[in-house]
Amino acid sequence: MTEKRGWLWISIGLICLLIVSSSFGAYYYMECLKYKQLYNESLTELQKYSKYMLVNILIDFGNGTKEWHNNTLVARGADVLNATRIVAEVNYIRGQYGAFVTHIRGVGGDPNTYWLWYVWNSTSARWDFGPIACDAYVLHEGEVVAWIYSKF
Amino acid sequence: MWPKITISAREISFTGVMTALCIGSNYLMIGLLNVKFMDLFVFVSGYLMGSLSGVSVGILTWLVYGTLNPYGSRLDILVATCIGESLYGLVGGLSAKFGLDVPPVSSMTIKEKRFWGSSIKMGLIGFLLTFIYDLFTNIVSGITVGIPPLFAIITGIPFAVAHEVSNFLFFFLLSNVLINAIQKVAFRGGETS
Repeated sequence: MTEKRGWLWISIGLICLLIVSSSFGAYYYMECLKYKQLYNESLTELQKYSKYMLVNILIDFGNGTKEWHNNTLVARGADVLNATRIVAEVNYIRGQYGAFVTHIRGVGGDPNTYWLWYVWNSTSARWDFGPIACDAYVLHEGEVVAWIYSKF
Repeated sequence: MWPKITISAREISFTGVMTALCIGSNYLMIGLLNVKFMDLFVFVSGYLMGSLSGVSVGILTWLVYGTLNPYGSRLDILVATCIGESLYGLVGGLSAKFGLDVPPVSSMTIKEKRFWGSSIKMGLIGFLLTFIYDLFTNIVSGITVGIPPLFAIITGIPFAVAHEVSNFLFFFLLSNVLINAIQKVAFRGGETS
């Protein structure tokens, strides 16, 4: 009888251990499912961004006001004009060489003063004059461009 | 016909004192989620004074602690916790009735196998009762707030395990000592020597 009772209590003890281990098993299984789902969601989110890139845009209004738009998200293959239109209101005309920006955020049209764009040359550490029209220059990942309202 | 229930003045005062002890310790340990001495005290009440007294301590404690609680109060959950808590008192009374042995505690008996065997039994009872309590209250809480019971059980696992393991330890380490101490003070009039 005493031996039987001993086994009964051992069985109860094992049941308790089973409860604890099953609880941990169920909990970590659910955690695993949760983090798998989060991982898949993050992957989907990242895939969305594979069609985009980050560029930095400076707008110098020529009166001491300079605006930096760092890490601007633009579509891959976007040109300077497209990128600038994301961060500011731009007025432009189309000429035989491409787009010519007349106003940025309402600033422009002063005599002998024009909006010119530049690209940062990291090798020589200086601004290079935009080689072609702003709507013809395709931006690359991480590139830095500037619009400067310059008087001649 | 309802069975005639007689309650002595001693039982009423014991129930009151144990309820006060439960409520006091609950507020003291309010920062420790699901780690409370209350379950042990309710079980001990049932063991020493019978199931009715144990059940009363459990229900009365929750009527106060479940109503005046900074975490909020809901009637349906309050009813579930009252029922769940009364289980400790009920099983405490049944344990005494069916001869669950609690050896006297002294420097001699503490070295004996019998003492530790009894402690382990108490720990296992505490664990299983807590498991049933958590299962029941998690299901009720889940239904109340409108989430599937299985989901409620799984999300409540960390709290349930903390509750079960802490109660195992409390029952294992303290139940024998507490039962002996209360018996000595309340029923035998304290130390004789």
